[in-house]
Amino acid sequence: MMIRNRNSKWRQLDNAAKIFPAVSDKRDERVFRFVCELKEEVNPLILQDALDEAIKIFPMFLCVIRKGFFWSYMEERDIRPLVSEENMPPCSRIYVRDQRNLLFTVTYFKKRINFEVFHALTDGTGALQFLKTLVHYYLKLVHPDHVNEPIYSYDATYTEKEEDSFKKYYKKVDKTIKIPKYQSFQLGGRKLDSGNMGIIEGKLSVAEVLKISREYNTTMTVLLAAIYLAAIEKEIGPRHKHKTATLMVPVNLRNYFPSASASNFFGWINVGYDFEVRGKELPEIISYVSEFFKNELTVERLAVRVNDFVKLEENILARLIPLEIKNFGMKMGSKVKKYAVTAIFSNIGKVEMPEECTPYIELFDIFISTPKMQLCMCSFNDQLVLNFTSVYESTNVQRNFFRILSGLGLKVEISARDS
Amino acid sequence: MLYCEKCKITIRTEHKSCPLCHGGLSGTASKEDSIFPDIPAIKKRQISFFSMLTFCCVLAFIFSYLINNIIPSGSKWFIYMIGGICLVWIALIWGKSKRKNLLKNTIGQMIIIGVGLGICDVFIGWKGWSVEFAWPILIFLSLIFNVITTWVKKLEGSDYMIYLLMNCIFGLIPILLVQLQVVKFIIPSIICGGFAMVLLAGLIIFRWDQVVQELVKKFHM
Repeated sequence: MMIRNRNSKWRQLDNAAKIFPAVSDKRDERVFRFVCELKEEVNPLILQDALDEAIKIFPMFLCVIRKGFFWSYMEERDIRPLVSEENMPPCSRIYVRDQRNLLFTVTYFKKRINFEVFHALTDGTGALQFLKTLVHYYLKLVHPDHVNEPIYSYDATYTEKEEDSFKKYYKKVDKTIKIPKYQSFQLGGRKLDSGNMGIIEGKLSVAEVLKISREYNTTMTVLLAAIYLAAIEKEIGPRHKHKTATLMVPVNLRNYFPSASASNFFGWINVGYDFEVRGKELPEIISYVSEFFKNELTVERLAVRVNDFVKLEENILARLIPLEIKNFGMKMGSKVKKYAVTAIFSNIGKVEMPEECTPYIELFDIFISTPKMQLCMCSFNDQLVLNFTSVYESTNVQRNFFRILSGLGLKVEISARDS
Repeated sequence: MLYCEKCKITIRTEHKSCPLCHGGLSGTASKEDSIFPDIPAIKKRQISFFSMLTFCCVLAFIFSYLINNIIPSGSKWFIYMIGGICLVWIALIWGKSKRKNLLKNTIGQMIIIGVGLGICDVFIGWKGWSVEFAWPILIFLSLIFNVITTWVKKLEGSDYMIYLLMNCIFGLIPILLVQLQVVKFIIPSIICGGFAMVLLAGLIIFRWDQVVQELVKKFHM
């Protein structure tokens, strides 16, 4: 006889996740997509088998968001995630209030496996871990003779995977540390219809870009951030010359505070660059950005930022306010905060797969729904993928960006979604 | 592959003009290389439920005002009409937005209609029919409906517990009013309150662990 466990497991939303259900809307669903493009067409039946296996390693992904009186929370559900052919625009709505559905989807299109996820469930690192596991299972099932190593899965217990690391590392910090704030230039112009995000993906060679960054004596990330800033500079009209171009750069906090959480654990730094004061030439931008990253990406300074998020959540008054009012407050807050930066630059970094899998994988590609303009970057083997998503009709910044790259002698291959 | 002379880039997907600079392209594209399926943009319905409903309600406002003025009756009955129409509007908006969660929907409808009838009673000149009849009957009906929904749909504890508990607590209000001697004709209140108490006792005794867990979940700070 089957014994039915009447008590469902639940957990609190982590610090970052608390904001996403409140602020997701038609303009910005807070959904991101991780893509693995194979060298062969995807077999949906095998992908379903792989998904059934992969989800066993990530049981905390099988949950729905429920509303409580003071906070929303995650409740584990026994719902089987189903693979389907891609039939919705990228990064469409996943979290529907009161619907109690899973917060991720796995779809396929031709050679591409798409994993879309609502940001409240996990961040880029957690999502990538899942996609890598899924792809490894898939390749193992499709090519059992060649792919037979034990499944890649990272070393963490279930509790570690669902841990809220924000809370773990929250402590009193040095109040004298000041985080710079900017008056940021805003990209303007007409916006695309909601649900119709502009996506432009550029593919480059890692080796070639590395060569260029060595010429400038810097890293790939700094070089691309500097080029991004330079691309924005060309759009700043004379009236806005005094404003800074500010990039928000999400930071994976696991690199600074040991954590194996598959929930959210990210922060960000804002790099503001004032072209009037510091000059418009690429080497000037590079030296500033490089110096800025060096100074800001330290445990002490990141801790100050983390504490700012958690402090609000720990505030007894904030906790006592009913959820609906809190949601309204967070919505307003995020609307104001949106204007603190010009654009967003996420670097997921190098994606590593087991040696035996690499012959079957073309590339990894990452992008996210955004209220502004966002560049996501990741690399696999020699394929560097730079993916712009944008709500604006204008593609000037993207054009400037890729023209600077091609001007440096790099071969760029563009793929885009017709909006 | 397509090529843009101005941007000096190659283009993998099929395009009529350069996705970056919107200029002309050389070379030929292959449809094979598309990375997104062709999904026609979702056409928004021209008239949404919300605007249709609001328009109908406004129409009803206008006509009741006009008819009230054309046919002299000595009273300004259109004010009550407006109140009634507002109530219908709120109830339908709630009903649509919570259609995925029947139990929550029922409780919301019960509160909206109950408050509406209470206000109506006060405006017409307090006779007490709202608390004597309308409230107990409404609460009783919602309890019956929610119990049947839970049973028929075989809902899990986490899906029904908090709503049944809330519904039972509401069911105790008529009893309280009897005790405070606000209510004169007590039969509907007694039936409603009795049923709520039996259900509440049943939930607490047979599903104690779930009751506790659900309260902890819903009220965690």
